[in-house]
Amino acid sequence: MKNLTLILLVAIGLSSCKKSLLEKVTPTSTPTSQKVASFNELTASDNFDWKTSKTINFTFKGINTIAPAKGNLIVTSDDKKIVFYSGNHLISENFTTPIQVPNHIKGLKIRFGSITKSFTTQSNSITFDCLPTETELKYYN
Amino acid sequence: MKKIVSILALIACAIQINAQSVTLECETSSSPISSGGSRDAADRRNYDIANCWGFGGVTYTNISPLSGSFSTQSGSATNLNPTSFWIKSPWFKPGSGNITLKTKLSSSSGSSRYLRLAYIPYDANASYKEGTRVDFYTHTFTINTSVVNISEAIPSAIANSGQPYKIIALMFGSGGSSRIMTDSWNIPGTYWADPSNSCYPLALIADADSDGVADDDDAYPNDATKAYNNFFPAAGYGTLMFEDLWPATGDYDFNDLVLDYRYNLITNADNKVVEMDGSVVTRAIGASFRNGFAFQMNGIAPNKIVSTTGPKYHGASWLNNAANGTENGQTYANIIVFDDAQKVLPSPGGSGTNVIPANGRVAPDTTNLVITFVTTSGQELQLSDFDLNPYIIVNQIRGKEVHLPNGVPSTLNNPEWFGTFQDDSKPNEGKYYKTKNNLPWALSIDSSIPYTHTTSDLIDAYLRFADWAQSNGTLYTDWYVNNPGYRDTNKLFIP
Repeated sequence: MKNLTLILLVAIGLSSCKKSLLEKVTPTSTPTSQKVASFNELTASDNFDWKTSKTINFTFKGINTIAPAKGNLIVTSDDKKIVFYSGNHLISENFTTPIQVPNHIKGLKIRFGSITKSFTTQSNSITFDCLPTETELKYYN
Repeated sequence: MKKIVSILALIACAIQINAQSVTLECETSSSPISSGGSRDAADRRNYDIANCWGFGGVTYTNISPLSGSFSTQSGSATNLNPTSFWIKSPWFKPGSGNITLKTKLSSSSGSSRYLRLAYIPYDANASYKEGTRVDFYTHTFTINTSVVNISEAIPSAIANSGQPYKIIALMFGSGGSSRIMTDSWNIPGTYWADPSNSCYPLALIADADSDGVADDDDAYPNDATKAYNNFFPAAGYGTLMFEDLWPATGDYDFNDLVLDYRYNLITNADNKVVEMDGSVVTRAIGASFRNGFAFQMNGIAPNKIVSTTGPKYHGASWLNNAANGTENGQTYANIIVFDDAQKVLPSPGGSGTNVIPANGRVAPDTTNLVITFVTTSGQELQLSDFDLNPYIIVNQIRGKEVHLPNGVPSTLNNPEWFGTFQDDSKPNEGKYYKTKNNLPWALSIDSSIPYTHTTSDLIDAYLRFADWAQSNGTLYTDWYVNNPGYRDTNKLFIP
């Protein structure tokens, strides 16, 4: 009986050890880096820029048109509440400008006249053109 | 290459086009030509759709084209419903003369084939603004593959009417499998569609200041010199936080000088920057140094600036500005926003201002700047020319600047400080204002955020900051957002 109790206690002990061990080594859903006690102990890489925004190179790819139409080009957040760029552009003119987007903004909407397209901010470059979207093309097919 | 456009002219401020005919040649691609396969055909059709031509069940083909390399082709026209396959022109204002086009059948298979021409009037209340179709010509094909040249006068009811219309070609038939092909369309008249506005007819825009930007889009509808606001940050204010013991490291509470900022680069209808309106809010001083605050416009020569108003000066001995408000002796334009933070935001007593909760609080001070730029043709600045580089001038020593990490110092900075104490700047490598571990003396956040109490370490207040910094910015990119578990508000000075 004593032996059985001992075995049970060891088994329970191992089980709880294993559990706490697992908790320590299993990554949580959001990973963390090495813990430090103060700012002074941080180590950043040479190329880290310490910026809370990213610069996206935005290109407007012009298209030759029968008429030299000009329109309002506007780059906004996905919910259209934050305007990152606005300008007046010929539809036929190529144009590039850097756009500064805070890290927490994940999507952009770009509108030229009545043409609107959506983009994510994952890439460092975005190209917008005035060709019809797949949805619009369905109308013609 | 076949010609799509006849004569184009842009007249006056509104979009007015004087194209003598509207044409469809099926040859122009929006991207470089590849192998000549179906991608090219689709690409050419997309180009013409972008130019407001419409196609119902009609594609482009390079098999036996009527002219050039590509033509339109319907599906097999085996249905007598006239709207089975169609091609619609853009809106145009008809002239007089004949509508011409080439057409043929793709094979000799079928019982009957027809191509009908009709016009569509403008109707503001109708779907797509298209009124009731009026047929005016029908061609009956002989069932073979001979090319037919259609030439039909624009109906007198619409010729030279001054009103916008579309021409539609309807293709239909019965039996067999032949398709109806067309090419080389020429419609006398003036192109009157707006590719940037759902291809609706052009309309004179309301433009009170006649700068070419519609009042609805113009932030300054009654000022022809300005059109658009471009705010940085785009939403609300950003925060700048400095440590001022450089080149030695300090306590990393990042509150020796805390500022909020927002600036607006105002552009005109040609997208040139004519004015910068800046707002600098001095929020806190967690130091005893009498620091100044300035920014450099990297790459922009001082003579690009016409005038500057709004800086706050209190007689610093090192101030030396030109008439346009830029600092003398600089390669690039430098604007001293204020020369002494302690005068801008005086302490209510005790150490520092707005950093110790137990002490009295002072309302943040706002400095509003207005900087105007040259508008001489060829000398103007564009948005992409702007790269603002903020810095403090430490304790009235003009040559002692502290910038954001890798911020290039101004011409008046004394480089002898570099590499001393904990500073590991290496100008020849483009490394500035970083320690050996690449730690900064200043931070810029694209949102307005609370700063720390005096002597509270930044990473104790912003709980995800260390993960962000040590992961090279890949973890917790939104560390500054007030998400659950991101902040210890006990360490933050929140008024």
